[in-house]
Amino acid sequence: MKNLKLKAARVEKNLSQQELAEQIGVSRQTIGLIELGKYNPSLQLCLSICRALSKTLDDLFWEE
Amino acid sequence: MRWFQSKLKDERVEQAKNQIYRELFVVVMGLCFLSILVKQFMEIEAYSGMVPELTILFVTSLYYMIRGWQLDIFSAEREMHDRSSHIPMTAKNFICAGAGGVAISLYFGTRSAILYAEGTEQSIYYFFLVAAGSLMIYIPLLIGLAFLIDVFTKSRHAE
Repeated sequence: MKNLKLKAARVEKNLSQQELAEQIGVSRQTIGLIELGKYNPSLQLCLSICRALSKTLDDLFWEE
Repeated sequence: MRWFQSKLKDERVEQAKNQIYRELFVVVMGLCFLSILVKQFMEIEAYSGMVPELTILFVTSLYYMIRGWQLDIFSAEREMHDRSSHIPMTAKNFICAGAGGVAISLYFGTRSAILYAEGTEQSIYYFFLVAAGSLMIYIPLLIGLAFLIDVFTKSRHAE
């Protein structure tokens, strides 16, 4: 399932996939795959993404 | 083991590589088992010397290339490398290919001088003759191969 919350948060911060990837130390492809729901990131990576986008885990990764 | 540790690591790439290594273990076991069967039950003249080792090297390399391309790890690795290194990965690959060509040529030159020459003068002549011939063959071959690999690994990234 696509992670639209992550994409929305990234766009809200005015960051491209490349810029976010560089901030958290992964490749652009990995960010793309997380947004597409094709890769399950580790908790460590989820936390890095949350810190970079100033969001909580619930905001970005919790499905209602 | 510090040589094998890059500064930045993408966890997805590391996971994908570990998955490929797990699969490669099964591939190598299968090849070894097959090799034993061939040696036990068939007497193939051509299947001797270094053929089993070369088969394992070739098949595992090809398998790694194909699975790496499928899992899209090469372009990600290139991106991670280029982000932290002054020399781009493409340039490094071409330099390594050229150095590999020189190393192979020196090896063949030395081998010919030791095995086939009689006397110092002939050894030197054989060394330079074979090394020069090998240089003419292996440098373009390995650089061409590096170019093909570069195009192959870039193609999925472009998609």
